[in-house]
Amino acid sequence: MKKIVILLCSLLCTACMAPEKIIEMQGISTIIGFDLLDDNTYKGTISLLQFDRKEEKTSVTLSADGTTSKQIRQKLEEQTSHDITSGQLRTILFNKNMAETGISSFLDTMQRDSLISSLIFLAITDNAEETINNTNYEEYPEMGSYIYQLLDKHEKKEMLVNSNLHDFITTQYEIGIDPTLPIIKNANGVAPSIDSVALFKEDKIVGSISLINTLYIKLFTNNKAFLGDITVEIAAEELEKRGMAELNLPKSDIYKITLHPIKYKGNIEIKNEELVHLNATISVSTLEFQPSISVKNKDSLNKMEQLIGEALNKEFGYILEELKNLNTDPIGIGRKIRSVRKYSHLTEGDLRQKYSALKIKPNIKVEIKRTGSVD
Amino acid sequence: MKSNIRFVNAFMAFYIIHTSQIGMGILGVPRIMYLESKKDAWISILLSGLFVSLITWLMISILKKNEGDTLFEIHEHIFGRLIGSIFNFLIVIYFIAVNYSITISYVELSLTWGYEGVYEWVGVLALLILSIYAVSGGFRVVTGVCFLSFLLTIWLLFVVYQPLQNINLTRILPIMTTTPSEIMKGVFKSSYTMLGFETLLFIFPFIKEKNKLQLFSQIAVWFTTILVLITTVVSILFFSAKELEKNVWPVVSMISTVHFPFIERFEFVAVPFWILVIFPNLCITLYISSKGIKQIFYIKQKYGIWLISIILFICSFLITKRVDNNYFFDQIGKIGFFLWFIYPIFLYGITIIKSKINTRSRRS
Amino acid sequence: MTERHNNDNFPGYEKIKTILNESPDLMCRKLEVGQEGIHIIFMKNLIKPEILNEYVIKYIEELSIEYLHYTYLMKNIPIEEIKVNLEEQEVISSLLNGFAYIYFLDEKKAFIVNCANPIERSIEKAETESLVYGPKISFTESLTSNVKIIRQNLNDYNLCTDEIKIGERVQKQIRIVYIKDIANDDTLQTLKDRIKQLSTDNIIDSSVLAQCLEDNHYSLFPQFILTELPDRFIYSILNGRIGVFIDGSPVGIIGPANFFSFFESTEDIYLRWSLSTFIRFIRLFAMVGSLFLTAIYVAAMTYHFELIPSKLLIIIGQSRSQVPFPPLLEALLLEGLIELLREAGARLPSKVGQTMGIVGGIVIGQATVEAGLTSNILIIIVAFSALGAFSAPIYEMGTAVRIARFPIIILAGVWGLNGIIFGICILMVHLLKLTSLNKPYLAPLYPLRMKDLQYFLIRLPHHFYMRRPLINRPKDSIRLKERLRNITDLDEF
Repeated sequence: MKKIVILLCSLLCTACMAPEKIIEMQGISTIIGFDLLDDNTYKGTISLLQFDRKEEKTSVTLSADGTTSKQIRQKLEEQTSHDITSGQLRTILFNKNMAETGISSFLDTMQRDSLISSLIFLAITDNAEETINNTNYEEYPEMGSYIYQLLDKHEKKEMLVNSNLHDFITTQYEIGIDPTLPIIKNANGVAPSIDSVALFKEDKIVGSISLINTLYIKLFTNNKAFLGDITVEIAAEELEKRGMAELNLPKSDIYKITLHPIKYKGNIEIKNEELVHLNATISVSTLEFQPSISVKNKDSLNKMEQLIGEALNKEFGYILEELKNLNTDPIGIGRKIRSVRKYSHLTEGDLRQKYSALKIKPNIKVEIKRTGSVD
Repeated sequence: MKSNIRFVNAFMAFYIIHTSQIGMGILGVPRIMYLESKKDAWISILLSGLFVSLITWLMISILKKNEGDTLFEIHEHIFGRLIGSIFNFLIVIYFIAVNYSITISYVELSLTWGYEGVYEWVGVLALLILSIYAVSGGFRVVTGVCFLSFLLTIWLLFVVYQPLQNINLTRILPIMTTTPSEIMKGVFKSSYTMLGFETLLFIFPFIKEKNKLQLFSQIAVWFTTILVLITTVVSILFFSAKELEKNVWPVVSMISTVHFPFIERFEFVAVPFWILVIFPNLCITLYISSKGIKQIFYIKQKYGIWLISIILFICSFLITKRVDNNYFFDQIGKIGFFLWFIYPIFLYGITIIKSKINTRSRRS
Repeated sequence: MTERHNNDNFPGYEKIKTILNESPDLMCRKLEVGQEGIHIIFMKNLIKPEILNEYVIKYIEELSIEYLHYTYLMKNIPIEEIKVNLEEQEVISSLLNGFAYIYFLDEKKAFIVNCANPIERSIEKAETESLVYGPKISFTESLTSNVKIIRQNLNDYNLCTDEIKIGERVQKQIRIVYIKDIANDDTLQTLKDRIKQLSTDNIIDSSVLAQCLEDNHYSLFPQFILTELPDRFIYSILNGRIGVFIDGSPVGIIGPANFFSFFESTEDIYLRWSLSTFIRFIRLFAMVGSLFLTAIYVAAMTYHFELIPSKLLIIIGQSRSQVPFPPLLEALLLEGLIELLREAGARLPSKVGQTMGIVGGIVIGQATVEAGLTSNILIIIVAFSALGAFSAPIYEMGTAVRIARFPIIILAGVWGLNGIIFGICILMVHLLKLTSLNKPYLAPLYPLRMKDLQYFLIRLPHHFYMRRPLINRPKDSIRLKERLRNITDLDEF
């Protein structure tokens, strides 16, 4: 009995080894970029970590043209002595042209391939090939690791709304919400950096908003996002109008206040079919007043909070207007509408139609919790 | 090969029943349930749990009436040797099929996650060796396998913590939008995952404190229900509808968004770990079916084990396509539903009638 | 002491001489007393001459003639151990054990007296098991002194030391040590039956005996604890286990053993509970690490590079790129090297052994990395797993773990992580099947005894240990009638 088992085991072991993927035989791709050339061909650029006996050089960048991602992959494979694998793939870049024609078919193959992680980052750039070939990066072995680090930092702090494959696809497939992706700026002589955030509608890029302004989206989509410091400008006459002259304000036309959000809570409130309230409360600590003022009594603090809230709401209003013009809904208002029993039958088309006519009222409240170590 | 049957404590029934319920089914259950009863899949699961719990209660009453026999003996007792043996034979075939479905679906999963290019029969053979080795140790070892594999794998539950950060409550709202018939279809479809409690019918004689069995088997059944419920609800909250409908193994896809500072791709660890989850299933099904062979043909259990293993091995060359597999699992789920959800009710009726006849004849 | 008259079984000098192949050591001192005299026959090298001279020869010569007969001498000779009613076989074996044979020519009767002068080592510190705290005494090769040590430390009239003799050619004395009202009768009976069924011509050492008594001879895992520490021996016996000594071995056997008992050291009792619980966990983790780490390395390098975090990837990749072998071969090579070093270190005299460690550890390790035969990551892992295996308090368990590692490494090299899990499953089933003296090996984990987990997995403060562990099925499981806590309470102010 036991002997037979042992015999079978050893037979199995020797006869049926799984296909090997020994680490140094692999060209480990860390980043892949797609550029749309004309007439439906794409150019794929890939940065490979490969470990050769010579120690100084660990990475290689390759490019190839093709009509599908797997074809590109095959052509890339021909150019290197290592097996190209995507087990450690961390980032996929698309150029803007591609994003304009749609990237979901590419993402589908990525998702189908179990080797590719769901946590892989997606980003948009002007020219993926140039970005990957950019040699200006800090102390990283190659561009893939650098961009991964860049995006990972933003992801960890939830500075981006969605950035990885799983988030993107989930949002993409969901009715009533549209995905966003970071746009990576690439310029000569400097390391790539995140510039703004692209807005999508039905798989196509339709516009972008700056990274700072994503805070208004994150208020309602993420739970623990890093909002970034908020700078609000308040005109001097506004302050006077509110009767805050007793604050002994130094003379200035415009007051700039920088706030650091501590906690926030966002809620989409569906009033009725035409009216949606976007309620949010942000607790902040004040970082900077320019020129410096000190708010001491409770009354003026309340007024200050109100003023800041109004300023934010105004800003948010513009953004919402723009989003409505683009007919894209990264906040997920449609999703929220659909979760109400009355409207749960609405289809994606219905929602889109409704969205452009929807009245959205931003309602952000600010609470100054702390003022640092001085008043 | 000694078949050292010893008694095990009643709380071991918890591990046996729970581990034989949890297996490959739970990896795919969110999708299957979602396809049927959409956002209200959790209602189906709760109903199904309730149903299973009732059946479990029924099964224990049947067993108590029959003074500690296994189902095989009960069949012979009620229907006589010939018809009883036919029934037993069908049950043996059912368990062989279940064993095969678990094996082949694991092998398929494993091949998808990193082992592409390995022949199916290699995986089947490896799993067979494991289960032969375990089952040849007798019931004590099988129970031990259930217990240890539970201990070694229950921590996987905590992995859900990371996806929990990313869920969106609106996805399950509004509740109660599906029709009752769809929910009932969901209950029906959940059978493949919930099955395994029928093990109770075959382990009963080996349990030490039989009066505590009811308690522990109910705990086991509800624990499984809660686990299935958690995975389903989290999956529904985690994936968007279309994505959930597409993923064959939503739970694995969910695990694939987990990462630790020291392990980048956790799903590549979780998939091999799943061997430990299905290991008790394989052992129990092999044990029960070989026990059945012994009961029917009066041959040693050892030969039964080998016979079944050879059958399973040969089968591994037959069904290898994804589409065939799906059909196969579906059929097993259906048969299992009728066999273990519906049939015990009849069996209960028959035993009651039988015992009444017996007492009457004794009186006269 | 019933006397058998009419017994002509008592051999004379001539007969003994032929049986003993005319051994030059055989001496016969003929005392011309009485009518025909008395023969004192003994082996020259095996006796203590002072005893023979002082208490036998001198005593006989000083007796007046009327007392010079068998009955009186047998009763009055001033030597503690005498044997009468002898078979020829026993006479011979006693002579060879250093007894003197006193033969009365007139009466044709004889008895033997003990004048043995066994070679004994003095009691020294334990070598293989070392403790920081606790008694340092260890067993010696002499059965008598071992029993003496136990008796001295365990003054209980219920302590039994049953004697069994085994061996066809070389008869060896075996002592089964247990406490009568604690040890389980079934286990004791099993052990005795097994010992009695043994048929060997010679058992050299207790480790050989332990191997012969095992339930599963093919298992990698030891099924008896071998110890040279009396405190461990006594502790085990008090917990309901059974100990076995064999003459000529400084190592006691303790059974039934379970898996976790190989990871407890008596030091766990001496140290404070917090520290010893911690250390126990470290030992268990070290063992798990030792079993699987190298295998995980092999699996990750061969199949699952995607598991490696990005920051580690480049370090590992660069160090691997120098290596000409596949990971499996690399790991086996290095593991083999470590085993070789250990073996060479164990065989060499202790002073050279230290240099061996330095040569092996530093020179070879450094050189292999620089020559590009292994990666430095693997060196770290292999060193860790070697350390882990050595952390088991019982040497045999350490060796078992070291050997069990190799199949797992091979499985990892063939099937990656799936192979490792396959190995875990096989290991699990094997441990579940294993028994020691018919007691389950994995107890108290399986069959689960919650109350016994405090004995094996963790260690609590001493006042929690009110009972003996139940897995040994002691007859008397209560250790303390009243809580020890109450006693300590008195000391508090």
